[in-house]
Amino acid sequence: MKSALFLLPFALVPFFANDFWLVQIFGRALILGIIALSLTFLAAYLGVVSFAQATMAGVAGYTVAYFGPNTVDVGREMPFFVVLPLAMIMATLSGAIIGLIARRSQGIYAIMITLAIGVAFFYFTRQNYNYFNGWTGFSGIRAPEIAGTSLREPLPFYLLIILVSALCLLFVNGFIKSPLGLTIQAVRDAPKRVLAIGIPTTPVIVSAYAFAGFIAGSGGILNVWYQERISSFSVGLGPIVDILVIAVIGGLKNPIGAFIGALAFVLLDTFAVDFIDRERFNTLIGLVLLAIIMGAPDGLHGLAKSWLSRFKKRPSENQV
Amino acid sequence: MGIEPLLSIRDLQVHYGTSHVLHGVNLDVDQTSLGMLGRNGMGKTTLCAAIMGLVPISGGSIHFDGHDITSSTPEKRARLGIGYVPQGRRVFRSLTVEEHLRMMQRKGSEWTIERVFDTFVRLKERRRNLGDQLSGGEQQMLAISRALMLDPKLLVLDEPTEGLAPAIVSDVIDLVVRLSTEGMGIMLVEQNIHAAFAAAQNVAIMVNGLIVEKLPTAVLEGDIELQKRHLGIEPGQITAEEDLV
Amino acid sequence: MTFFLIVTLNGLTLAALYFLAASGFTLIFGLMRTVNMAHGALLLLGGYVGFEVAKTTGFWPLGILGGGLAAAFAGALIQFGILGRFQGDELRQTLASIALSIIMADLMLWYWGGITYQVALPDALAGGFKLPLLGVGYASIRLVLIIFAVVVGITLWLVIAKTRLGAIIRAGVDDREMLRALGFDVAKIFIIVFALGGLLAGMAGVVAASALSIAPGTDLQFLLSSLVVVIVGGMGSVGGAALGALLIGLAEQYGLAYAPTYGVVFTFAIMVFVLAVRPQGLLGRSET
Repeated sequence: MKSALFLLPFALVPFFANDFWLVQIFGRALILGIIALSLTFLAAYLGVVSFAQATMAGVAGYTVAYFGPNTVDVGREMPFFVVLPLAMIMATLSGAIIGLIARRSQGIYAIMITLAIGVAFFYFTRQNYNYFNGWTGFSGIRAPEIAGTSLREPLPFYLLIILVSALCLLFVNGFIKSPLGLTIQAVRDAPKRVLAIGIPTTPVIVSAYAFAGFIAGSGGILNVWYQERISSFSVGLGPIVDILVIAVIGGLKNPIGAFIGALAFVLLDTFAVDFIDRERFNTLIGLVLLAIIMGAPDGLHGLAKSWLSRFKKRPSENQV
Repeated sequence: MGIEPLLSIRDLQVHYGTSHVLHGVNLDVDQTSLGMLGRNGMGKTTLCAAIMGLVPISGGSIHFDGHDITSSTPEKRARLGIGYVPQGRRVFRSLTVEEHLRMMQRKGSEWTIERVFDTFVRLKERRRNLGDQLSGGEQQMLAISRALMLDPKLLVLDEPTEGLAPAIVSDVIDLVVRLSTEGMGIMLVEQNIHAAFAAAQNVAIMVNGLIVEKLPTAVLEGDIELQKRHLGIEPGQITAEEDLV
Repeated sequence: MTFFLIVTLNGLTLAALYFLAASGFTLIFGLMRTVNMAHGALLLLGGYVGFEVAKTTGFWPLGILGGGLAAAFAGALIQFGILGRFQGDELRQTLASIALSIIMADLMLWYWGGITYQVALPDALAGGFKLPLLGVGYASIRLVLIIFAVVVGITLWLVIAKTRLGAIIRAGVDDREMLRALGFDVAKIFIIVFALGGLLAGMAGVVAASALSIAPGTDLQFLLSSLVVVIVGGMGSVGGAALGALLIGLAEQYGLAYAPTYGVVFTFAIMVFVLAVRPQGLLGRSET
């Protein structure tokens, strides 16, 4: 509950922000935050840094593109109330499959394997024209109209994003307190002991990845509506690393970190051009990332937390 | 105060996470042999690791041969002259016996490969074998040899007789006695009280992360009451354990 | 039949390149448990510097050497200045090396631009030759590449298996802490190994720029091939890198020749299969 309250300021944005800030900044930040949340979830509770989260999001995005309205000659259109559940199922399934492949890997091994999976998917989408339309991908993807409200309008779309973000945070917080969520954390801390008490670890790990796929898929659907197109580049190394950068900058220890990192990333991405050559954005983001890794391993969330606790302590120190 | 001891530990504190393992150890080791006794889990191995700089310490100081090594790296301590023969021997499994020794070779060293091979003929026979192809006794010889090639002033041995056949145990004891008479400082951590009695001039007893006694070996040998109190060994058990090894 | 042999030869060429790229990566990983995500960037840097040196001096072998040394220096600097600061915290090191690879790639794009570079070959290598029995032409440089990889592989094996430095490196792989307790400055050894890994990457970059070409993106391509090669072959094993490179190189070329759309699926299927059967890789040691 408490962590969803963190999104409250985002809910106030429509009262004073124009459409640019609403969608391009806050909307985009929340969408990236949801996808990064799936990474933070795996990192914080399964102890695995996964590079395949943009892939899971991409699976949902491609499903929406293939079965939704688009301007290329691939796919077949179906009503949105069929497409959306299908996209979520596909993303969850992709998470489960990736989990199955990477189930025995931890730490740096998991990084390497999920990265290899993510990039394999990228090459696959680039070469396959029947389902992914190769290089070109899909364009002209349109968010549906639901109950007379077009989700292509900035405000309804933004409200939907807020709603999904809040739901995802609540899901994560609820899930980690469920018996399955607690088992996931037990597997993170002592996999051998979990095995020893008769719980096979594979289904536990696979379900953690599947849940991450579900979260990433929610972000993936919003993202494809936001971008209105998807191609192999949407699941390439760029987005893969972006999601990681967001999660690390925000802090891998707390789900909220994903949203903090996403907002920082989007602000940098949008406004860095004002004080640095647009071309050199990657150097800037690389330096920021390096500074965070070296100076604040728990990310901006960790920094904020330690500042807050110092702030809280000070009055009591004065009393002494 | 006369001459400074070779190794001087003051109020050494070590924590592992939340558990407090060493509670302020004070210990001097000089150019003689000191046996370190104590039951399992009392902190003996941690003390060895702390002397080598392999565990972070949370308080106190360690001086060795006139240097403050409290915050020195393990490699610095080794080069200053602390030879370390760890528990479980830890020979390198993908190096041959000869590679172990050649790696340690330095010019002007008293211990050369030839001298090691003269001392441990068995190692010479097995010089082309990898570390994990050796028997426990051979591994122990090798672990001691490579430490000796540093020309250490102090040799720290952590349970060198653990798991060895009786004949090999007495070989190890003989070697330790000989090194000690040559003037090398020895700190010998032992579970095998009999081995410690045979090898060391003095013994210290560690209980719950503290040195509670330090006395000549002969005194402890004669004080069954003290043995029982700190080591939990009935006189009869000594022979029982002896039979076991 | 001729087609099949040509494809096989192409596969071997690619395998040679993959091995050169992966050998440094696996060497660093084997000793230090560091996944150096900047490995591809080091390779590309080596390629660019090699191009400049070869162009300025007009002497191709000097280009290989120059590219290798530049990457070796950069590698040593990375380990000394950044990664060495949190030795033992592999995850943080990996993340930091990702940040470095982003920065390096961007700076190289700035300096060398987005264009494609190819190192000019000496006349003796520029042409092709007729393959005996088959009667078809084949580029000399590709053969040289295969020979180069074999020579590098054997040299690396000799260094690791027969020299004192090699023994120390192996001892470090076995038990890093014990090595320190015997008086070896592991931090210094790490820097040397990182330089060695950089040297291999840099030379691979110049070779890649000679046999094929290099451009922004080459770094990632080779980082990923190295990842897959060491996952398949066994992380930390040079022999495993050779085996993995052979499997992946051949699979990729056969895939390209016989099933162009699904070429990448072969590579991927090999990786998944190996992970399922032997998670530590074909020649890798299991983690204990």
